[in-house]
Amino acid sequence: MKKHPGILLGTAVLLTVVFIFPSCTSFSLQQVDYGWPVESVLKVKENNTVSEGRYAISFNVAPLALREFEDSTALKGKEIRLLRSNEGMYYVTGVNFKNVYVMTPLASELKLRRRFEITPTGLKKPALNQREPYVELVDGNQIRVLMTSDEIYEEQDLRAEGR
Amino acid sequence: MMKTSRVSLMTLLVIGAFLTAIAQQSDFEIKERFKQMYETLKSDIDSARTAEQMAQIPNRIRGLESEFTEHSALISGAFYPKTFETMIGDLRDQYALAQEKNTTIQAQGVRIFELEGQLSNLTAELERLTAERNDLLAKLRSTTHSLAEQRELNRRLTANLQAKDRLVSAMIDSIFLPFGKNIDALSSLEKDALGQKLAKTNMVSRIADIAQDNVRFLEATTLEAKDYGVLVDQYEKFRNRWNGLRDRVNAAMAATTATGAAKGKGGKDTQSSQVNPGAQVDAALAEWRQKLDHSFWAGLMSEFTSHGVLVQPFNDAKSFSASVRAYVDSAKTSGMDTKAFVDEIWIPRIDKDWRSALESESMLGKLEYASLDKAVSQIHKERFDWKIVFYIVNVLAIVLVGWWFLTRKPRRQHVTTPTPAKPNA
Repeated sequence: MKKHPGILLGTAVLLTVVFIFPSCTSFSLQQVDYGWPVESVLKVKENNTVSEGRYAISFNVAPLALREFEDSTALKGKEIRLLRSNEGMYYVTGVNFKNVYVMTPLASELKLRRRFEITPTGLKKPALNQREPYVELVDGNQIRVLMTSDEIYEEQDLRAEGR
Repeated sequence: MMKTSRVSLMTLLVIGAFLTAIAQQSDFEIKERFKQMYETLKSDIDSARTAEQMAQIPNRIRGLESEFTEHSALISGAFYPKTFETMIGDLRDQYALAQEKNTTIQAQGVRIFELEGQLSNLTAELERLTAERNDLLAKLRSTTHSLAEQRELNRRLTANLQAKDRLVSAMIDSIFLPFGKNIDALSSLEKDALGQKLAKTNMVSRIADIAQDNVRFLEATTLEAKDYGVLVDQYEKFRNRWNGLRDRVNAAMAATTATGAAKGKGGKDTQSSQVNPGAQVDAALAEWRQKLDHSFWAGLMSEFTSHGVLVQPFNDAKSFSASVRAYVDSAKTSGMDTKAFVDEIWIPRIDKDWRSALESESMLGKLEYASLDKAVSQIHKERFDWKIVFYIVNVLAIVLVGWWFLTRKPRRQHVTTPTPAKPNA
């Protein structure tokens, strides 16, 4: 009987996919919720660092101060507001900030993922709230926006578009 | 300008409804407000004393609960591992405990009222005894009384001082009894109440007065050996009682001072004098001890000098011990006559009249006295008494004479019978 080389090749590929490929896929746990229930208000120390006791995270805010205020020491003695979203991104803002920074945690590093420009005059009384699956930013009665790590939804826009 | 992404209409409608429904507020502020109200309520429960204050607490707990129920998930997350429910439950438990404590305090209030009546009677009695003491001390200082009269005055004054001591002890018990022994367990309000009661009754001054009375007594009188046993015992009892009381008195008075300072009452001088209120008693006690020691050891020294026995001078337990041991060692090596020391001083005076005072722990102590007594008894034994030889010789002589009389042989009598004359043949 004449053998088909195509059939043999197909069988070999199928066997490879069935037996070998699953063992190469990465192992992971799903449905992880990183969210903090309430934001942390952290005071910037003299060495330009902040530390959060309950969740055990600390970092240097000098680059943030440089970026936001063009002065690496501008945040010394001031407070920043930090909230981790359910998906694990860190949201950072503060009084007089024009932006909210969304940071991705890496090995010994928080890397900027998105910067949402909120107001050119700076926030007066900002607060970050966990509103799963969003993070809410309120600033007194003036501003209220919802954010994900990639999107931002402004109230007046929503209302206008909600018609 | 802000960058806004376009999302589906459905999502926008959901988000819009969500934003409209929720009032614009910070979760952090909610958390902080709850925390502040919770801590205030806890503190108020702890400090509530009147029935009116206590009656308000359950309503306030209910108010806190209803105000924050809608944020219970947020609060539970913010105060993990505590939850909103457990925190409210803790407040209710704390209130129940406070209510129970207040009921006990109210019951104690009746007892306190009774004890205060007792305290008033004790104070009056104390005043009477103080007047009597002044009279007795004045009489003692005058020189117009006989030796028998002085002894009687001494006895009455000692009895008076002991009675005062007992009265003050009873007053202290009356004051401390409602508050219990462990002052650390008292609340600041209770400590303050105790301190005020101590201040109102001049308790610290009264305690110091007992020590000062004893100092005056020691200065005014000449004591005999037998008197010291009672006086040393009285001093020791007073000192031990004060040692057990000092910290409690200081803590209570300090609480009163702190409260007074917080309320803006009392000047700088008042506050500084209340820093260590027990110091007044400590100073009087030290003076009492000094006078007692001086009188005691001088009296003991005079026992030796009045009998012409030379010992090394001493003025405390240690030097007395060293002096007696030096005398004993010297007597052993030199073979000097220790008759006066042993037979006239140690046995009839020290061992008989001074022993009870010397054996007290604030003087020599029982062990050291026993050791000294043993050392003295050794030189007593080592002394050879020639009288014994004399008695033995006498007894031997009597025995020998007796024996000689009993055992001697009667002398044979030679009778000369006349020989008949021969007839002449």
